[in-house]
Amino acid sequence: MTLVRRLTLALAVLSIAIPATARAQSATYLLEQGIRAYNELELNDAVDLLERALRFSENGGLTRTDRARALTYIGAIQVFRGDADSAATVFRNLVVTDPRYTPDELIFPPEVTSIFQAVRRETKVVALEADSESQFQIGDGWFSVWLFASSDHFITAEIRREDETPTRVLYTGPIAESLQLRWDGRDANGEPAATGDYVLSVVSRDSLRRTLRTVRMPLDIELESPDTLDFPTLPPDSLFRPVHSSSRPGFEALAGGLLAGAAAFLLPSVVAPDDIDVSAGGYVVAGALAVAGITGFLVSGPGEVLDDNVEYNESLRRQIQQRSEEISRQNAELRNQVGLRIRTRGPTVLEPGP
Amino acid sequence: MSKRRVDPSILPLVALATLLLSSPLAAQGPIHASFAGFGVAGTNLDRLVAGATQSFSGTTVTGEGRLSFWRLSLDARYAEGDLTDDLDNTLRFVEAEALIGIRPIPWINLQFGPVVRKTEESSGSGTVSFWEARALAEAALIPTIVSGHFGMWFAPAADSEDIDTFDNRLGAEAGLVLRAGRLPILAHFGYRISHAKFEQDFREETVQHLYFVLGIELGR
Repeated sequence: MTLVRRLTLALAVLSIAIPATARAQSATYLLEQGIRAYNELELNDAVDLLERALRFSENGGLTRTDRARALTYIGAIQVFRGDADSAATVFRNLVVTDPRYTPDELIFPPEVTSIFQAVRRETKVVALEADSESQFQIGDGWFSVWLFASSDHFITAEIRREDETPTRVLYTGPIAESLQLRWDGRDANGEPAATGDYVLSVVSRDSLRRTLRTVRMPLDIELESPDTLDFPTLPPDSLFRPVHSSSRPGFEALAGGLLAGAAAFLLPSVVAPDDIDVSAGGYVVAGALAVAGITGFLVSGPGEVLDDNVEYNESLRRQIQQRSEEISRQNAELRNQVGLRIRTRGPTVLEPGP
Repeated sequence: MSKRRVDPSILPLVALATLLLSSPLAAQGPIHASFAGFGVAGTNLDRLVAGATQSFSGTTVTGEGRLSFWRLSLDARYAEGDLTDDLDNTLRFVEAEALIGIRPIPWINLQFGPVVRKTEESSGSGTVSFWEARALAEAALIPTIVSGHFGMWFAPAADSEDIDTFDNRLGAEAGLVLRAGRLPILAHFGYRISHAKFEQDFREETVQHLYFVLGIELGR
């Protein structure tokens, strides 16, 4: 190792202590220095620098492409060292990290790329790509996600609640290079998905349908329902007209006539002294009042059905019913205008347990 | 005619019950309309002086009318005729009244005014003026066709040149008014009785009218 390389390495070690905001720049620097060491066949220094660059990257230093580059160089160094198993392990991690990545054949020799391709064919995994936020109306849009496969294999893609409750199976079948999945926002019963935390789970399977890997993309789903219209309230009774004529006038006439007649019958006894002959006229008037009261009761009757008012009330009820039906129809349309807002988070890859 | 004596205290209760039960009906029909009419009345005058009773009866011609405006009314009545007793003694009977009224509620009419009664006979003549307060309930029994009324009154004061002291006067009336549909014609049929005491019950007079009046409604 030259003095310059050692100083560079020392500077790289010191750079660990620099603030996090400078880590990206430091990781990139380490990556470039590692690649330079690789080109100068300083393979040990190159591995050391590249691994340090990757460790920086664990806290968000390198881009995914740069991480893939770093891993490719490390894998290539393992190939050059004759350690095929270590190279395969590095390349397998690389494929899982980025299934679409392919080493540049202008940079890496065929013995490296061939081993990489062999590992890629054997490592069944998919990458998921979706917009960080999607918004659409149920029935008039969908959530779209692209699946990129490392190699041909069989997958099952489904939406699940965060507690693993199945919601909707999106796809079961083979995948070659890529596949676009669309989800209309409905569950298996055709109902809009409720607000909550979900996950898009894509299981890669072997030819025997055994689970090889599972990629999970968390989905934060927010159901946006438009406000429905309130149903009309029943009008107060005061708005309805009486359907029977009041029986009160008839009863009042009867009671009034009878009481007035009784009073007239008693008048002479009250007013006149005992020894005065009372005219029979008082009794005649008393009888006439009573008869008039009874007649008034019979004429006014106990209350008859008022057809006009019945028709008016039925018309009022029909209007309310029609209004309710109209609101029901409008609410049904509004309920069909349910919107979904889906926010995605970075996918994670789960390896099957031992 | 024999009759049973009724406790006078129940009469106001009967009147009140009648008024309350018939109250909403008062607003129906033209029972408050102004009118004027003439008719006849069978009139009895029983006079009790120092335990001796003298009864006169006969027919009087009567006229009556009412001017009604808003809640106010002016009622006037006049009756005049010759009455005779069993001995064919003749008594000229004249009675006139004018009462102003107000209806605090549509179905009751409170009236107040003078009532003047004059009698002329061979032994002399006499005039008594009463100041009367009346409460009259009016109700439609058959809407627009028949209305009934019932009232009571008393005279808190009286004035007469022939009588030294006035004790009291109590009266009551009941009747019906029949209307002829849309025609402004009415018939008033009723019974009225009043009893007055003078000079510490030394003298009493009871006057009864059974009247029938035909009239026309004014301003209809």
